[in-house]
Amino acid sequence: MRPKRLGVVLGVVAPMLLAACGGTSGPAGGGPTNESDVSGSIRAANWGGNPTEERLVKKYEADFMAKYPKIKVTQEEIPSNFEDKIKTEMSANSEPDAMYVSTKLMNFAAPAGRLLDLGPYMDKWGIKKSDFVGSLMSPWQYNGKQYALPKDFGDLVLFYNKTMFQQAGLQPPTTWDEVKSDAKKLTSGGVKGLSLPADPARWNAVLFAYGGKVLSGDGKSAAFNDSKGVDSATFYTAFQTQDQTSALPDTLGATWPGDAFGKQKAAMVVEGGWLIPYMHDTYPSVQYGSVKLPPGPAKQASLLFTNGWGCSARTKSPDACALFVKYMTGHDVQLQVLQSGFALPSRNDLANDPAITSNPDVKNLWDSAKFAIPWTFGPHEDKVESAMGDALTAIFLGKKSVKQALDDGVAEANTALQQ
Amino acid sequence: MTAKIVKRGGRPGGLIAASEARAGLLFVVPYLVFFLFLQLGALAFAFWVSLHHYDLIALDNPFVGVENYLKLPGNHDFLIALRNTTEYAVVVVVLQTIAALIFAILLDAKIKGRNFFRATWYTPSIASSAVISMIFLWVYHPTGLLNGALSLVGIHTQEAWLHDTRFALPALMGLNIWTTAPTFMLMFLAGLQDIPKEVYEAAQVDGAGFLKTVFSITLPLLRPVIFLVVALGIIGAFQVFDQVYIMTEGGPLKATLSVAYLIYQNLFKDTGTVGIACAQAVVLGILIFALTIISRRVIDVKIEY
Repeated sequence: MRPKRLGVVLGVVAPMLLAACGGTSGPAGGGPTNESDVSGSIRAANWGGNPTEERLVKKYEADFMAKYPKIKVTQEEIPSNFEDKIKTEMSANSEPDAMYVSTKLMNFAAPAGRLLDLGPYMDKWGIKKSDFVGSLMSPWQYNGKQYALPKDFGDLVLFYNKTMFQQAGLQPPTTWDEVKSDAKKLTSGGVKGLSLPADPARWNAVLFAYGGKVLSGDGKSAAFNDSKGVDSATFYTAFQTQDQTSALPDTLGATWPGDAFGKQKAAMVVEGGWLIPYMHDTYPSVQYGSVKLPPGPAKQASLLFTNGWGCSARTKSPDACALFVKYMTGHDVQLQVLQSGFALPSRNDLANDPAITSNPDVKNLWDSAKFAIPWTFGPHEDKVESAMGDALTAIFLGKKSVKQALDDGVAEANTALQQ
Repeated sequence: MTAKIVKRGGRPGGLIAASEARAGLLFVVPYLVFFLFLQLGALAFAFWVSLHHYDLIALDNPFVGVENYLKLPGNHDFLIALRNTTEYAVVVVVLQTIAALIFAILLDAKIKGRNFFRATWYTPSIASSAVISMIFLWVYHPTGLLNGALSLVGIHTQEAWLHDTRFALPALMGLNIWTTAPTFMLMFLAGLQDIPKEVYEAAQVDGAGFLKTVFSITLPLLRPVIFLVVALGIIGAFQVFDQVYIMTEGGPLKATLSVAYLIYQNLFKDTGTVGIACAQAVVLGILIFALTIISRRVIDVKIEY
């Protein structure tokens, strides 16, 4: 599946755009060859997360400047609408040198030639692709070039409420059939077995496990309404529409599935590592465990959400910026990312760290990266996602049949893709 | 505009007038500069962009003529947004104008605690629409204030108002009426002060009752203010954005997708659709302009005494 996903990212935008701007990233051979000789001043933009994460980014940057005293980093924190802000800055040629790169940002900025091709700098400063978790690299590749390096990731597993499972005398599910039957046994009164949202960022895990795909191979049309799409959406929505063993978080008086899980209104949820600190802070008394998402008819799948660090193609200090990216995605910082518990580190050399091996939930999340598929859909990503979301909502609300909803969703996505 | 003022100043004996005109011109220069560059300039630029296949960060934005405009009638989202926005504007403008008028007339009467009621009723208009939207997220929440109030009168529901295709748009309408009606009430109150007391006294002598006075004197004499309120209402309602952005993001199932929100999506959330967004903005602008002119023709007619 991975080559196919890569194909999507690679194929979507006219390559000529890239050719037109190749001149900006000069040969990396010039300039200093010793890391400690690199000097410069760079602006580094990150989005605002929670206060702890913000403090950590500040600390990493201070550590970086201590290690590279000739490079000055100015942090530019963008509280919200990160991509909007960067896009606007890029249009005014005033974007920061280094920046968080989301898949959204990647998908519009790389084809437009606005991101620095890191390839030459990776060679120059000894950054090895093999250091990173394999599936995390493809989202940052376009036309064979590497435009960002992964700074962390999250993926999906199935969390279950230990107390409820014990009371019902159930073992954690290992197949989707067991999830289905367990959900029936766990549903009673105001408590549902599951809380699955009308969110393609959950359904797509099932879609991929059924062997389906969101876009066609060339990325020019949507393909989630084939028989695999219909079967997987039928399976995903039937928990609510037929079995009534799942309910939208809202119906359960919760803001998101994790909230319903914490309030013990849902015995199982499909969520990522972000649930762990959330449960710890908000619902510390709830006993829960996790299992990897069970294999579907075609294969085992999960969704991979990742963000990276990249540089502007217009940066005046590409070496300094590349070293900054190297440091932020390097072992030291990634170890702290892991220990902070907000996301998983992007590097293979942390696989045996006790923070992963001693925590079964983190271990499940880490291991799921092997079969998780990056969630990224090219330059019209937002429209594609909302077309899928609307299709799911229509099914959940009983407004359309599964087939009809997906057909309409594909038509809507195609309007955007073929614009 | 400029030419006219100077010419008048040039009339015989207009020496003072001329210097007054110069002073006046001087006073409006700062605004004029802002207007020319940031409003008229931006407007012209938006029109220019609407004739291109445009992206904010692309290196090449080819000229496509009116293609972006020709695409609009076939653009499903645009038609939905246009229908939603029109529906929204009609309901909001009519109801908020009536509500503002009723409250203005009531609060113009000499009742006890008049100032208290005026202040209370005006409070919602003080807060910014973003703040109000955040508050109403919780009012409309399944376990929120609205359902709580309904349960007091015996209606027990877990309705998620903003997630229901039937209620999401009306929920936004209600919120907007609640916030803007008081501002317009203030305008009506000001308008009511302008109606000469003698007219009412004469009507009283002739034996007209309260309702007769309202319909035969107050409403006709308020026409200019009613036009102002309706025009401002139309302009505001057709531009509805903040509430949609904060509360529903156009959902569920595009039930609250407004033209302004669609323009924003095309500007920032998609790639290569800035030209389309600008075409949509131009059409929206023309639509608002036309409706304002029409409402002026209909409402603000000259009255004979």
